[in-house]
Amino acid sequence: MSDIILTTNNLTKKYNHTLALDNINLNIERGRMYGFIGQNGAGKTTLIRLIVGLSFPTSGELYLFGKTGKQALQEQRKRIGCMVETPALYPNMTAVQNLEVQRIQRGIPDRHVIRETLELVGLDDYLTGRKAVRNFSLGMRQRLGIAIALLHDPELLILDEPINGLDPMGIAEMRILLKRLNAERGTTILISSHILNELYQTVSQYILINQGVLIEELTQSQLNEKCKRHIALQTNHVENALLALENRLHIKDYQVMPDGTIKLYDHLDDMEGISSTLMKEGVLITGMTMAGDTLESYFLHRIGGEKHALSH
Amino acid sequence: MLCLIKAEIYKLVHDRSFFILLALSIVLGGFLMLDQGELTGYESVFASLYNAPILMLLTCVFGALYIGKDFADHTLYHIICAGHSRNHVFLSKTILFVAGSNMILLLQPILSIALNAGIYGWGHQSFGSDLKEIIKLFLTTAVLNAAMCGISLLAAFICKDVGKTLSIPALFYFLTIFLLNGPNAKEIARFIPLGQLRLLIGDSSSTGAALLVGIIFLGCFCVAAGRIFNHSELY
Repeated sequence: MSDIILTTNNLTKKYNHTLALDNINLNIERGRMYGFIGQNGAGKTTLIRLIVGLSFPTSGELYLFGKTGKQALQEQRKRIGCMVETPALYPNMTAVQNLEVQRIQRGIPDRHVIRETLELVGLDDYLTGRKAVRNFSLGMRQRLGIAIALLHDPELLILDEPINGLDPMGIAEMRILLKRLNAERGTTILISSHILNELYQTVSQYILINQGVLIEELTQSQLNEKCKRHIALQTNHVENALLALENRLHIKDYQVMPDGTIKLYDHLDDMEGISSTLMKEGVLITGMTMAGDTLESYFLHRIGGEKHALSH
Repeated sequence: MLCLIKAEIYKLVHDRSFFILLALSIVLGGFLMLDQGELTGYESVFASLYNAPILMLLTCVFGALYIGKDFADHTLYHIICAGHSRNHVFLSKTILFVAGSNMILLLQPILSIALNAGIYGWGHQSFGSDLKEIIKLFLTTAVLNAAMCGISLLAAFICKDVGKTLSIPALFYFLTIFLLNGPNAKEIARFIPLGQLRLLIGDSSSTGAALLVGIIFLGCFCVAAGRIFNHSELY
C-alpha cells in the first residue's frame, strides 16, 4: 500500500479572473501531521474545498488514496473526516442528535460511536442533555464539529482552523487529542491554522502557501534548523570579520545573509570573546544580537511580509 | 442513497418547524372550512382540496427552512464531504421535501374528510366505490403540489439561503394567483399546476391533463435544480 494518501498535480483553481490556486503540487504521507500555513486568502481553504469535493478544480489532478476521477474520488472521500471553516451543525438539535444524523448518513451501524466520540472530544457531559446546539458556546461547537469529523474514524482528518474559539485549556486538550489520534490510530492530520505557535507544538510537517502558490514544504527538524538560535552580527567589513572568526575563533558554523548579516550558530555563549576578537582585528561591530526565528517570523520572512507585519 | 433518505427522515422527524407548519396548516385549513357549513365526507373531499392551494404558502416556508437552512448552516456540505454523490444528495432532499410538503398540504383535507364522514356520514354511493376515485384525486393533487414545490427546490439550489428560498416561491405563488384571477384565467389555468388543481376539483375526470402539467413542471424544476447543484461551488 502506498504511503502517499493525497497527491495534487498542478492543481489550479480560478474564480473568474482570480487565480486562487496556482499549480499546486503536494504529497501528503500517511501517518503524519501537517500544518497548513498561509495568510487569509492564500488559498488554504480553497485547496481543502477541492480535496473534500465542495469545489471543482479548473485544471490539474487530485489523487486520494491513489485514486483519481470523479467516482473514485467520491468513494475515497468516505475515508476522510473534515471540518471546513465553521462547524456545520443543526442548531435545533442536541449534540447527540447531530452525531446521530451523521451516523445514519455514513451508514455506521454501531450507535456506541456517538458516546465514544463525544468522550473523545470532551463533550461527554452532553450525552444525555437536551441542550440544543444553538445554545452551545463557540468552543463547544468547535468540539462538536471535530467530533463529527472523527465519528467514522477517518484515515485522513482535515481541520480548517480547529482551535478557533477554544479557551487555552481547550486548545491544549485539542493538541493532546490530535497527537493521540495520530499516534494511536495512525490518523493522518492536515490542520490549517493562524495560531502558528500552537501549530508548532502540534504538527510535524509544514506546508507554506502564499497567494495560491505553494512556497515551501518542510519538516519540523528542517524548520528547527532554519530557525535555530544564532548570533546575528553586523559589521563594517564582512570579509574581514569572517576571516577573523574562522582563523581566531575557529568558527565554521555560520551563514552570511544577503544583507551582510552574519549568523553565527557557534560560540553562542561567548559574545564578549567574539566582539573583542573582531575589535582586535580592526572590524567595527555595528550590531550584535542573540536571535532565533519562530515559526511565525520564519513564515513572515518566507512570504516577505515581515515589514508589513511590523508596521501594524 | 438509502442512508441519505434515512438521515433526512431523522432530520424531518426532529424538525420542530415542520410540525409547527403541519399544525398551522391543520388550523388554517380548519378555519377555511368553517364557512362551508355541514358537509358530508364526500362533499368535504372537494371542499378541503379547494382550499389546499391557499396553504401552499406554508410549503414555501417549509422549503426555506428545510433546504435553504441546510445551505445556510452548511450542513448539506457534510453529506458531500462524506463521499455521497451530489445526485443522491439532491434526490434524497427532493423526495423528503416533496413528501413533507404534501403532508403539510394534504393532512388537513384527510382529517377533515375523516371528521365530516364520522359526524355527517359519507353522503354518496359508498366509501368503497368512491375510494378509487378519491385516491386518484389525491395522487394527482400530490403531483400538482409537488410541481408547485418545484420552484422552492429551484430557488433553494440556486440561492443557497433561507431568505431568497422563501421569497422567490412566495412571489411566484402570488403571481400565479394574480394570473388565475385575471381575464384569461381559464386558459392560463390549464398550463399552471395551481390552475390545474382548481380545474381538477371542478372536473375530477381531468386527471390526465393535470398529471401531465404536474409532471412536466416538476420534471423541469427538478432537472434544472439538479443540474445547477451538480455544478455548484459550495462556499
